[in-house]
Amino acid sequence: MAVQNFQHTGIGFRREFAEEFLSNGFFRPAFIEVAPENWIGIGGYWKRIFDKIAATYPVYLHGLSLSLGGPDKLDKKFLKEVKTFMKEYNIMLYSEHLSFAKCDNAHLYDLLPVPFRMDSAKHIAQRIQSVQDMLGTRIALEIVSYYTPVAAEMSESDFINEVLRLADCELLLDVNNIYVNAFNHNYNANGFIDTLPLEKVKYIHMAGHELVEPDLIIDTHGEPIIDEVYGLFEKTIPKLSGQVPVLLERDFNIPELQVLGAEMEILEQICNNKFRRLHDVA
Amino acid sequence: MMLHKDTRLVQQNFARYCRTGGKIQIPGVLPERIPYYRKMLSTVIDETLISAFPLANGLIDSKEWADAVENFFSLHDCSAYQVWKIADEFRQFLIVDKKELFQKYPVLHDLLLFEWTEMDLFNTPDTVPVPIKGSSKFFGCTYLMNTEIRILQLSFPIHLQKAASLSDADRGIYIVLALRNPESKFVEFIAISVFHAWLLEQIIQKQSIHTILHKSENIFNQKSTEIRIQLISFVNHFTNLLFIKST
Ligand SMILES: [Fe+2]
Repeated sequence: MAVQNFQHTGIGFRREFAEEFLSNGFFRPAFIEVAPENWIGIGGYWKRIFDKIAATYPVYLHGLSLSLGGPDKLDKKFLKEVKTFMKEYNIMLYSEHLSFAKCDNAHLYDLLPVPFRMDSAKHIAQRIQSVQDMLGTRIALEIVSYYTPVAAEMSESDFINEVLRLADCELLLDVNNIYVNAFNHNYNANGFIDTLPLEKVKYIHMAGHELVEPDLIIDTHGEPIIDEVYGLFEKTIPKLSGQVPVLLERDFNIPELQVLGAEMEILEQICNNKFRRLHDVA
Repeated sequence: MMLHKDTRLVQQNFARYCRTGGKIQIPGVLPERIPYYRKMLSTVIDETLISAFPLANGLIDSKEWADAVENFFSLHDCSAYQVWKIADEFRQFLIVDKKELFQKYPVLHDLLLFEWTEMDLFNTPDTVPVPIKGSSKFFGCTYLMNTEIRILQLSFPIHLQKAASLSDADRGIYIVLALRNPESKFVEFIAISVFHAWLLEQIIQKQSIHTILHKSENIFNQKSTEIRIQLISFVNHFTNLLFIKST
């Protein structure tokens, strides 16, 4: 069987499949994505692996700890380390989450939902601008999945639009997150996507999730992508202003690489069909 | 500061709830949903600590472990952005706040240090070998020392025996060297003599061979010829371990 060379589709790189990945005969992703928190300042065995990976594939960074939506000060020291890391490995994209992960000087190691409020939108936009100034590049902001509203004073869509309008950053559209949020908070996912500034979408995430209660989905990244999310993805791509990279995220319950490759192939085929049409129309 | 006091307070309350599980009153928050956040955060902390300390986790009672982890997460402000580094924060938290555990399990102190050292050294950034000052004069060639090592002083021989089998009768002074194998990059532990541990420290502190010889005659009260023989055997030993190389 020939090795699949993906042009659009990348994969979240995990230590669980690192060695197998380097020698796998199934696929070559268009890029890989890693969390800077997991790789900055790491030497020895994992640095040797990372150096090999980074010499083979373009690397995108997807941060976890910056806490753009948090009340604590931005960690400038960490950002400097990110900047150095990006330079060292020639990394062109750094994305982060529209959430908070640190409060009262304590890291929380997860993505907590921010209050949809105007002061919060301004606060976050200002912080994104500071980050972009420091790094000398635009970052992409991901809308996270969430399980409860928190002291909202405006709609989620208005809030996101306000942040993106003020911040002059890119949008990372995680299609699964939108599906999960629409399900959990009872709105139409497709309609919600239409309210976003889609011309800012720079990057797409796709993942699986888990239904834990009849009316609650948790965004586990531990299952295959479901058909409805593929469907939403297919409907979304033609609405974008150009081709964007697409990532398969799989963080738990990780299957054989061949299985991940098969999921990536579906994403790649959708991209090939839809992006070609986009090109034809243009 | 753009963030209003009230919004900040909402976020503080949300985070505090996730850490402590106390009562919470935030407008709009669904009481049946917010426990998922607490559960997710606690799971990250617990799983990280179990994978960092499999031996310590196996030694202490599961209820005591669960209490220690919960106390740690609610009382301690985790400062590392890299989640794996909370292992050391946890170790230090236990030393200060969970003294009773160390009384009940005398080997716990060593186990935590041993397991943390293994992970820390495994991950530690690559270093450039340091020249052993004055080695060319003494040996006729310049030697370089790989400093990806840690010297541990333990009270129990946990590097030789299972922790559960150790008792107060085994208490003593055990000097153990942790080293990151330059080829495999995995961490190995070996017992070393006090003299070798001292020599390693001197070299890492960039003391010259001349100074080391001079100091060691006084400290170890040995003849200079004896010390010289020991120094040569030290260099041979660490050359075999690939930790000393000639240029
Ligand atoms: Fe995502």
